[in-house]
Amino acid sequence: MKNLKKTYFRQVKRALQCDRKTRKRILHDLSEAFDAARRDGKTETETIALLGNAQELAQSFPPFPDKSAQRKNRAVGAAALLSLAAAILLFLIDCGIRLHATGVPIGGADQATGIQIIGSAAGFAERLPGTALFLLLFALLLGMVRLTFLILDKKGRHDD
Amino acid sequence: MESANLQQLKRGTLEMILLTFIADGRCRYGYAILNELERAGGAFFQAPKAGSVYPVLYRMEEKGWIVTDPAHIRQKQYHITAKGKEALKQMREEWSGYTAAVTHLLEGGQ
Repeated sequence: MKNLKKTYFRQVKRALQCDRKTRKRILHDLSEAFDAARRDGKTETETIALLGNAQELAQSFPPFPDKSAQRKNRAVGAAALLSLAAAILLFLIDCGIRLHATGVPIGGADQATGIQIIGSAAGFAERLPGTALFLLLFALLLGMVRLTFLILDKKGRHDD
Repeated sequence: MESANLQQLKRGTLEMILLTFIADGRCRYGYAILNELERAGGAFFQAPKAGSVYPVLYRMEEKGWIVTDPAHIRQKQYHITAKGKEALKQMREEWSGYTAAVTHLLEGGQ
């Protein structure tokens, strides 16, 4: 007898086209219906007859995406784009500073030869390439996270 | 086999019926609603299926017309909200007006 319910659930699960959260909710409600029917003294066959054909039941729930997952995915994508834009901007600023840098004298000129050692622009400009690289890597990481979400979501739809 | 016309009529009125069940406290969960429809629905609602009831319940929950009671963990129970009561009131008024108008038209419109 247990196999009837199991088979019914498997059929509904397979036929449902909605997102994971909705699928879980539907299956939970169906499970509650089976419990309530059992308390009413109904057999699994009678309960299945009341609930209706698995295919028809699944088809009555239109495929719609998980809104929260979509929002999360969009936020990760936006953060990746922002990081990438910031990295490019910092890289361009760095290039500009380097092009226009006149150099900074380090210490005083040699008394005998008059040679003055000149260093590169110090401080903020020196940290720019590192920051840009960090942001670029961060953007790549977020991009990979988003891709993983998409792959998992697709896989989940096939597996369940 | 139901005609397309009857199916359309049932689809259009099921929200109002289910909302009434929940508002009355006649039945508050999916299985009980299915049973009540079968028991009291006469020939028109014979053999109602979960596929027609559960999507309506979910839709009404999304609209904020009904909520589930967190106190009932074992069996999810629905309760009507103020928004749901307002929607039901409007639906009933529209339904009364509509059926009266249709009856009037069918009887010759005199």
